[in-house]
Amino acid sequence: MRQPELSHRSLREDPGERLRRMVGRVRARWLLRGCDAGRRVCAWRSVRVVSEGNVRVGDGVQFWSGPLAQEIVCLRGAELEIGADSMLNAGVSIRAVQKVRIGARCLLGALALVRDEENGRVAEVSIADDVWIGHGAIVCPGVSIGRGSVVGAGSVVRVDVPASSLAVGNPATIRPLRTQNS
Amino acid sequence: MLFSRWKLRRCARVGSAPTVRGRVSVVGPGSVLVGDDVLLDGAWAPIELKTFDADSQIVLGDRVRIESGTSIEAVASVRIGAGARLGTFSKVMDNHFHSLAGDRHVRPSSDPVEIGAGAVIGDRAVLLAGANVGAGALVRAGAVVGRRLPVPAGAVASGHPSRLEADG
Repeated sequence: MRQPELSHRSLREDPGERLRRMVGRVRARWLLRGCDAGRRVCAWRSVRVVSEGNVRVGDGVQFWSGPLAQEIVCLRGAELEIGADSMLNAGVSIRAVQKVRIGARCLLGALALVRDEENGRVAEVSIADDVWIGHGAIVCPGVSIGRGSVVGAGSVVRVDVPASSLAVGNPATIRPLRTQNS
Repeated sequence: MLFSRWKLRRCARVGSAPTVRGRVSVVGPGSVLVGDDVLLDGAWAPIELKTFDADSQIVLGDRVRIESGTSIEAVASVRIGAGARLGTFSKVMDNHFHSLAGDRHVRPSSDPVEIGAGAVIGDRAVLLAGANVGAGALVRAGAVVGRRLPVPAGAVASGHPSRLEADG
């Protein structure tokens, strides 16, 4: 799926926001001090970061503000990667015991959960570019989600999702993503 | 509570005797209208009432009870009838905020959400754009209700994708 270049300015143009964005970038730099963080990473509010392993956060990643802080946990020896220009809404929780990879320009809705460990079973999670994960969705260990796919709000994804598909339900069922009428 | 009215100071209208525990964030340029005797219990996790445009509206009827962590986001309007209850971490939104196709940062058109009087929305349930929950209906915990499933008055909806339960 084609995605145009993200313009942060068009999203928020108020001059007060500009100052808050600058503060957000400084805050992100502080919060992600043990991590390999790119440029223009912005944390609008505090984020819980545990980086014992290898955390990579791409350029322009945004941690939106909201009632609940996001959580990025990467345990010892694990790898956690968030691609450039991805956006994480409030309450998103990403935990890596082995490896979690989130691609570029992904959108993670509020309270979404991404885990690579469940009840002792550890399996890599890989989310490709341009994926949109809805509010409160759960991505289970071992799942890989293809480029441009959408996970519906509240869904629980236990199987792999091919590119350009829509995964909805608990457990999620996969259907091709229609490009007309949303 | 002593500071309830102060916590709801950004609301366009607040009825008599509101009770607010913990934090409630009322944000955005739109109007939030609150009825009489509401209870907003944000003691465990904050409640969010968010409007996006100047003409967005969130209407909470009389005796509405909202539990911790609930988030209501309105681009057009979200109306909650008298005596309705929203469980913890439930979510009500009248817009999907991103397009399924094309540029994900284009906001699609919104579809107002209506929750009838006395309806009960369970914990962590999600009401998407166009959801319509009738009076006295029950949306069970974790259910996701969108425009495809109007919930009639007194009905019970559960699951994801949600279905109406047979009367029992």
